[in-house]
Amino acid sequence: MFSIGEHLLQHRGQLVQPIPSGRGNPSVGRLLISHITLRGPDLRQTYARIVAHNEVNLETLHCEVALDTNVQNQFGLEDAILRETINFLLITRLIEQRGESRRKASFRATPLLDGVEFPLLLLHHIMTLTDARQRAPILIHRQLISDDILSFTPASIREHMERSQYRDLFTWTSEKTTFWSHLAAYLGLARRLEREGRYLLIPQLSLMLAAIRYEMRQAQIFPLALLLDALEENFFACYTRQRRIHRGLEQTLIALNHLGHIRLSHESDTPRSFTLANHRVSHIQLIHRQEDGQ
Amino acid sequence: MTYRKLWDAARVREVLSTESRQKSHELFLRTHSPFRRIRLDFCKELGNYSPFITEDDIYTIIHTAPLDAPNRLFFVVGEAGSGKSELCQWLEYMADNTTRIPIHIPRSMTRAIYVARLLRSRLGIIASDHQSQHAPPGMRARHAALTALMLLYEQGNDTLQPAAKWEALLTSERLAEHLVLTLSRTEDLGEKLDDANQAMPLLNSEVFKGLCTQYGIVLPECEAPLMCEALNSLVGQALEHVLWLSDLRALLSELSDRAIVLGKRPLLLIEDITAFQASGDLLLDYLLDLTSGHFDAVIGLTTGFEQSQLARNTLDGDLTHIHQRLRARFVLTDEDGQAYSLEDTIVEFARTYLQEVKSSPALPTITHSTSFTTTPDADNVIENDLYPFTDVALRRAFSCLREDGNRRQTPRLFIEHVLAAVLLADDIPPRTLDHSIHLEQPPTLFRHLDTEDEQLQSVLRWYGTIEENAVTMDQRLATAWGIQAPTDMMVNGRLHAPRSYRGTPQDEVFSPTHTWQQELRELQCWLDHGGAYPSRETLKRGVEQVMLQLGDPRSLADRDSLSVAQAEIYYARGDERLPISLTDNSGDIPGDEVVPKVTITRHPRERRILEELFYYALNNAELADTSENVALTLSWAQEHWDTYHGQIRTLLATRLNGVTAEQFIFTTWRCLAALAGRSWMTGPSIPRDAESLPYRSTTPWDEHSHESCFRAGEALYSWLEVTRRLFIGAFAFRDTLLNLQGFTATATSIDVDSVLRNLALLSVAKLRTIPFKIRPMNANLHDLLVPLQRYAAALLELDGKQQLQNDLKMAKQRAGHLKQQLHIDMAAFRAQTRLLHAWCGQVGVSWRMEWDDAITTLNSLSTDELTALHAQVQDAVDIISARLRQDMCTVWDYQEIRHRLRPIQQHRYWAAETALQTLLRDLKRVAQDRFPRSRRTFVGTESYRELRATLRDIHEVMSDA
Repeated sequence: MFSIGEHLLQHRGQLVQPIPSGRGNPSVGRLLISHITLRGPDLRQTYARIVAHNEVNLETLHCEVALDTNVQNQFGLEDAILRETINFLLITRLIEQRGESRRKASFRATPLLDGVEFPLLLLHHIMTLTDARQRAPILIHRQLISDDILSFTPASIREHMERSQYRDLFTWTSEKTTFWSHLAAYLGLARRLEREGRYLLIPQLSLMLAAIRYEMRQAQIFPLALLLDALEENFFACYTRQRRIHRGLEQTLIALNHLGHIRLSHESDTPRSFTLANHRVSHIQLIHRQEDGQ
Repeated sequence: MTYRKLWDAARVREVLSTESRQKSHELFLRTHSPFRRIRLDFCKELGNYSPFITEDDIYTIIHTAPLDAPNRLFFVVGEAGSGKSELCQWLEYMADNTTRIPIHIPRSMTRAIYVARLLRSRLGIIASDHQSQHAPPGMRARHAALTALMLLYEQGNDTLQPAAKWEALLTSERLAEHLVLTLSRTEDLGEKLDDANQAMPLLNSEVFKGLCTQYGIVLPECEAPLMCEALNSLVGQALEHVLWLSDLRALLSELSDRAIVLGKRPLLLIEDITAFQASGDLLLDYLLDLTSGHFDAVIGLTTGFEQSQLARNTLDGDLTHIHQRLRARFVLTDEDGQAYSLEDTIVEFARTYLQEVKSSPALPTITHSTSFTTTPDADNVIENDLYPFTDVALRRAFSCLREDGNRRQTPRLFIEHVLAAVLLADDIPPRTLDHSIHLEQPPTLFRHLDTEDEQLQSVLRWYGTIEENAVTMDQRLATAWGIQAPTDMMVNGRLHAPRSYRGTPQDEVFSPTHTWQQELRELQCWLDHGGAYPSRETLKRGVEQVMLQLGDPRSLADRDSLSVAQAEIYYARGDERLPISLTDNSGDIPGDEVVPKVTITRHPRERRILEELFYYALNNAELADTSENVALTLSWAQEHWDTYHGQIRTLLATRLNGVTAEQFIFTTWRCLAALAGRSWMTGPSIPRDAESLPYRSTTPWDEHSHESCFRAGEALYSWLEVTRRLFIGAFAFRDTLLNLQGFTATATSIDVDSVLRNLALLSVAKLRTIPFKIRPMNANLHDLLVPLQRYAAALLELDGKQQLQNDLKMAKQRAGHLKQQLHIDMAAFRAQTRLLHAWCGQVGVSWRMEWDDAITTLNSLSTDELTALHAQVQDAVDIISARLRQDMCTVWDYQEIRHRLRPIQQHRYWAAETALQTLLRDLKRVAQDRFPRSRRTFVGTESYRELRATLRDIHEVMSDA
């Protein structure tokens, strides 16, 4: 077991208030990765509604998004997904709870970053959690990237993690890794191949582009190494154990370059550069396209 | 463009002649490549021979026979150009002249008369020595003329039609005179072999015209030369028959006997019996008669000719009797037309010729291109003895040889269309090979280069060595031909082009005969030039597989929906396969608005991806294994996915009068939710238990006053569950969780009344073939559209205002009625209703069970209950009145009101009241019928008066105020 103190997090000089525990928050001790019934759309929608209301309680949320099934469920399962979603968001500290009882409390969004799309925001929040077990979604990705894995299945992840340094983090199950696979695909860290039933650890173009835009919001052209370092620190892993760019990320960068979203270039006096598709690359430039709305 | 050459064109033509007899003896032997692998079908000669023998073995087999052995036949079978002439020529040069008289009969000396003359010449016998018996020349001439006429009648002739027109000419004395002259001239030619190649003189055009004029044959001026030639050919053929019968058969026997006397056996080397016209078969017949002479005959046969022509011309139509008389049968080519062993020795074969070509004493001036300069490195490459080839290029070119579209690897084709073609062309070798119609371009096994330099691609295609991950070649060769390669392609002095795929096919030996390479070639041909692409299904399968990795574009459900209860509308034309059309006359029918297809163009930027998808389909491998950049490939697939998906949506909207899939589901569910008792005033609802409720208890419609809506709604109600699931699939993440963003997007933009109008205007008959289904129920969308259209039409016809007024009138009546009941004396009422059963027995009315229920209900109603009901009815009156004052009532408003009225209308009081009224009516009617007023036997009785009083009391109690 781990203590409440682990939830204390000093992030960029800002003291993040610990989540109240005990009777008021009976589920915040649960592992993020154990919310196996959740999917990305649930999280995104609930967070978006909380942001839209500024402050909202469970009943209001339920009225907004629940479908009236005209069936009285004696076990109170009609809002189970909503409660589960809120629990997940509370653990990630994307929202905070005001009030003791979950049913009577109100919820408020507490994003650490402004102007960031939900997938990046969620990744960032998970990354800032101090408890390694709660950071498991990020750690799985980091491990796969570090080992230069490109293609995986939920079952193969379980095996992989049980052989890794994180083997004792908790009991690895297929349910957990399946949940993670769905979440990673929804957030854009991976691509799900419907027919093959496999996932490719290739960041989706939209996620990558959003991350680049966020990191390059102050600059037009940027050293690629610095950009990737920033992505590693804020959102997701980029480098393999040999400090090379992961194959999947490399493909995404090349695709963005090919499709005209970014321009990869090389400046000879740059201390760090990479080889992408047999070309030396040291800098990245964001191309503003009309269809991107930039 | 010219390039550096080290040979003389004339020397090339001399050395690379494919007619062995055109070469000098020495040149032939210098360029002759031994036949190291000849298939031995069978051999009746003594010796231990393996299935494959060499040319030396053939020499031994032929030379082993005793001097006086009867005729011995050997067939050398092979495709045209496989080396039959070369083998005959070699046997002639190598024959043992002490025991054999080799007589090589080339294909150019094909008439029987020349064959006989050749034999006589080699035996040193002059024509006059020939002692055979001759008929008088005039008789032989007439015989020949009649034979010509018979051939014309029996075999026909396209030019000399009709045959009867030529009868007089062919039987004329004047023609006979010319034939006599011809026969005498052929006798005179006997000692001059050189003249034998000249055409036999018969009728010149002047004589021909004269004969035609004499015998009344009118000749069109333009056709005269053609007819003259045809007549000469016909008469020449007849002459050969005459000569053979009278002369040649005996001549051959006599000549072989004479040779035996000299201690030698004649060795006939007949290059190709197919060229021997009629005498070929006759000569073969003679040789097959084993006792007719002492010849050894090596006869060349083209494979097809042996199976077709030769078999047809034999007596019993098959080759059995011929093969039984053969001593051996040698086969030079396999069933694919490829010369045995040539593939293994092709480099040595080419080297022999190239050395001879370059050994010319006077080398030509070296030709340079003006566009580049050579380097010392390039000079090294040029000095290679295979220049301008490499062993890779030679093997690849050999494997790509084709004739008439069929695979055929023979020495002649290789010499003519590879060696000679390249050496004589001005363009650089790879481009010459590219442009050859006898070479099928090998597929490009390297990734499509960014550069558009066709020469670079060409040289890699023909000269590149296929390695595990790349196609490489000596960079100096490209430089020598002025081909500039990008610097990033240089790896350790070699050009380095990455392989176009990873997977199992790379492990196979390169051969364009592999099906996959044939398919790859067709793909690349289509990518380069468009046009027919026979094996396009492979590419289409790859495109389909990668698109389906993103989900099925035919499904119109929300892709974020997670519910297992969801249903979806999907496009269901054709089979399970995605309809894909390749453009540019590939053979596919293009898609259009009615039959949308995924359209794949051959845009240059798509080339790499399409090649990868080809391998993806071919290998059944993972996408990550065949795609260089999966992100790019999936992005490309997503574009096509979105386009096709959009087309599907547009098609549905077009067929539904502009109603989109989401609008359709939204509106249908709203209609059904209303029928199921949900007014939707507080938002969408998914009553899961609605299906179990009977329609009559939930519908807002009255069977009598809203008949069309009631009936149409009843038909639509059976689709409640299907539509509920469609709604979940379109607007919900889960059974209980709305996709608020998706739902709001539709809910805020939709004009439901407009959608209803469009649905009502649908022509259901025209929608019978609408290619959409509902999954997973596998129901046709049309089956749902039929009741929906009917219901929409019924809703639109509904006059809400008038219906409200009707409802108001009824509500007011009921309110007044109930007002009367509020003061009812329940004790008196119960006492009176108790009498009804007895009265029915007396009058003879059958008592019904429901009357018991009704009386029980009415007796049990309390005043409070009646008061509450009255209040509800009064509220309804107020609501309806208020709505009427607003002067606006949509069908949805009206259904809302109807649902509020429904508890009132369905109150048990009204059913009981109706039943009691029925009872009273029946009782009164039967009583009056049974005891007619006119007879006055009953009406004046006390009983009747009591009955009437009871009925009147009850009626007054129950009637309206």
